[in-house]
Amino acid sequence: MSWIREGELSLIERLSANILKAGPMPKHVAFIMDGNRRYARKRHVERQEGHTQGFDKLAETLRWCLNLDIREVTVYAFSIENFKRSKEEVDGLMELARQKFARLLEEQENLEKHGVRIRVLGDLALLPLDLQQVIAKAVVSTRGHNKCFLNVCFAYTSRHEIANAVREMAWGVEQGLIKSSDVSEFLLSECLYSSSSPDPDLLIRTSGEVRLSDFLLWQTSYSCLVFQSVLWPEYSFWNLCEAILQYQLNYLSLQKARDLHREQQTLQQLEADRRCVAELLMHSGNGKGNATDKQSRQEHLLTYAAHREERVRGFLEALQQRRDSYFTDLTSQSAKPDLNFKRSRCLKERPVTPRRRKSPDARKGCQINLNLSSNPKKLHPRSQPKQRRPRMSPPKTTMPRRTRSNTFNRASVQRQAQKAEAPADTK
Amino acid sequence: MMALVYEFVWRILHALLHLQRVLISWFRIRLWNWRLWKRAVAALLVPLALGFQNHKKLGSSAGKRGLRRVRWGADGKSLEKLPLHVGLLIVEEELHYTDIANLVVWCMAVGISYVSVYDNQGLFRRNNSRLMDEILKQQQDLLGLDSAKYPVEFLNNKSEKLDHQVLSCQAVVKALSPDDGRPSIVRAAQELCKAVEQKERRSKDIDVHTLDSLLRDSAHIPDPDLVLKFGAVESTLGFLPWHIRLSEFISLPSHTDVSHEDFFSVLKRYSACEQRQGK
Repeated sequence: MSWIREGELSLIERLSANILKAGPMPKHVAFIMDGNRRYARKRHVERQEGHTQGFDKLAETLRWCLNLDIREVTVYAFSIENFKRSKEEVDGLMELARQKFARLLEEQENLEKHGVRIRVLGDLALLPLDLQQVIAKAVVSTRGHNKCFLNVCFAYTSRHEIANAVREMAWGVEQGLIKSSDVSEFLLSECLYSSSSPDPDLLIRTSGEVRLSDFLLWQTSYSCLVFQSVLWPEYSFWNLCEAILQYQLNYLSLQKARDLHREQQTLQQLEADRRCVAELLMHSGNGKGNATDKQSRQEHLLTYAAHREERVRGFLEALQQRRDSYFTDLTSQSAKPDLNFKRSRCLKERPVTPRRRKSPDARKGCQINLNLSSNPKKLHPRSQPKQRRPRMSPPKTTMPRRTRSNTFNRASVQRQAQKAEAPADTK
Repeated sequence: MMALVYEFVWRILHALLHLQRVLISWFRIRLWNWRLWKRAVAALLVPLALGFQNHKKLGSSAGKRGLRRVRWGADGKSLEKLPLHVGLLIVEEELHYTDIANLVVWCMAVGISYVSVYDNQGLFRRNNSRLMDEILKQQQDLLGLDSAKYPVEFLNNKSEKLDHQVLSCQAVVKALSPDDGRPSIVRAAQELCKAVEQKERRSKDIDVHTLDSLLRDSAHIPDPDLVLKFGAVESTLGFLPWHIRLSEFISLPSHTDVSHEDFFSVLKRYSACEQRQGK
């Protein structure tokens, strides 16, 4: 079974798809594909068969998403918590993953036809080494594609992801790339495994469970959550349509809540900058009259914000490089001796915390994740907004939501600064 | 041309869905009114029929409260599993403090220890004292509890910030705002990075546990087991992203005039949920 199922929709499905597409469509949908085992029990088949059928359903769903113009899909394939399952089942799932990623390497042309880029989000160091290498190869081979994106969360939990992002930022502080005061909501988002995707618009969980189970907790704060009672292997086109309809009904309220949140985020950043500037001025000791007048204060604020952005950009570039280079190491054929070297080095650098997984590979301790947006020159112009450079330019309507929201251009700083400054002046 | 047709059909479809939504909420209110009517009629007829008992009614109301407390408590015990911490998530435009206070008091009465109240505009947080006053009032009205009866819990509470919480009937009530969500994670991250900056900590030692212990304030409040959402918006709207990892989400259409039956049916649903924790 391939990753994207071939075949067209039936006439009535196509008609419904077109009607749905007349409204606002989610650009990014996340799935918790729950219910494979219950399905197997229900059908009296082997558990592994349930998982296999679950994968086939994913291939089918990806096809529907393509038909519905949904260009980005994130799926929860394997949670770190799933390591708690029986050894037999875990091994079975690893084997399935090995097969499917190997299969993915075989169907290059199909993926190329649709322009599908695969990313794998999670702490891959927890997986067997050979699986890591297969995954790495699959990810690298689709690096250049930029029409559709499939993010597979493997060995993933959201808390792990957030903690990892904090660790990355702390690394940046250690290296002197950023200051601890530069840590912000925006920066944290950029350090997550999912940094190159916009937040999902719609999250679907099947099989009637009504919780997130540690999936994309940060990213789905303002997403539409739809819980459906159907088991994943029985998921149908109509279930997907129903979920999208839910999203459309919620669209306006969600948009409003997002705008409100964005506004608060901007204000918080401004507040943080002002605090830092005030502190700097205090330390530099020229607390004379000139430092307190409005204009110079604003100038200070602007230069500070510009410097902060510069630091953050430098750090994010370094981070990306680090992530990429680890990853390229994994794919290159001569990786093995190299890796062993790296492992011993990492061991020295980073003691194994007792909580880390039983998998021997966990000892590598290096966090990797596969958000590859390296080699920007190779990419199609459509993926340009995903890079960090354009963030400084004034917002364009074609830019994805997140990039636009986080653009901290001078004009908006100035405007916000004036707004916030006003009450202070009345004193 | 076809695009226009599709859009037209889409609009009709959505109009129908909206109509359905409105009708449902209208029926709910009608049903509620009807229930009130029935009660009012019963209240009128029963004393008429038993004429002389009319004046006794006032005196018995205190006993009724006591009864109610016992009954609700027993209701709670009849459930197999009770959440320790309930998050009341209001995603509606209009907020009714009395209804929220009712819900909080019901939570306390069945024996839930922690209740968080959230809206994404931060109104509850801003009008915290109003909310807490209303809760105390409803507590007296519904359960007939004197706050003076529980002086110990209030005194024990000095470690908490009193302006955000009221500890009474052995439950901690907290008003939360979006500021307790992502921004609180950012603050924890900042704190850790600061420690790294000052060489008190190494980046490699940061893990889920360090972050979790920072995000759990001194009160050791557990993560919400149940998030009870009121309103038509299917989203958490920024409610405690870190803490809702394993929370069950159950929705009710509105918190306005919500009935105890509705509330209790949610608890029953929760008690039937099974969590496998990844297994």
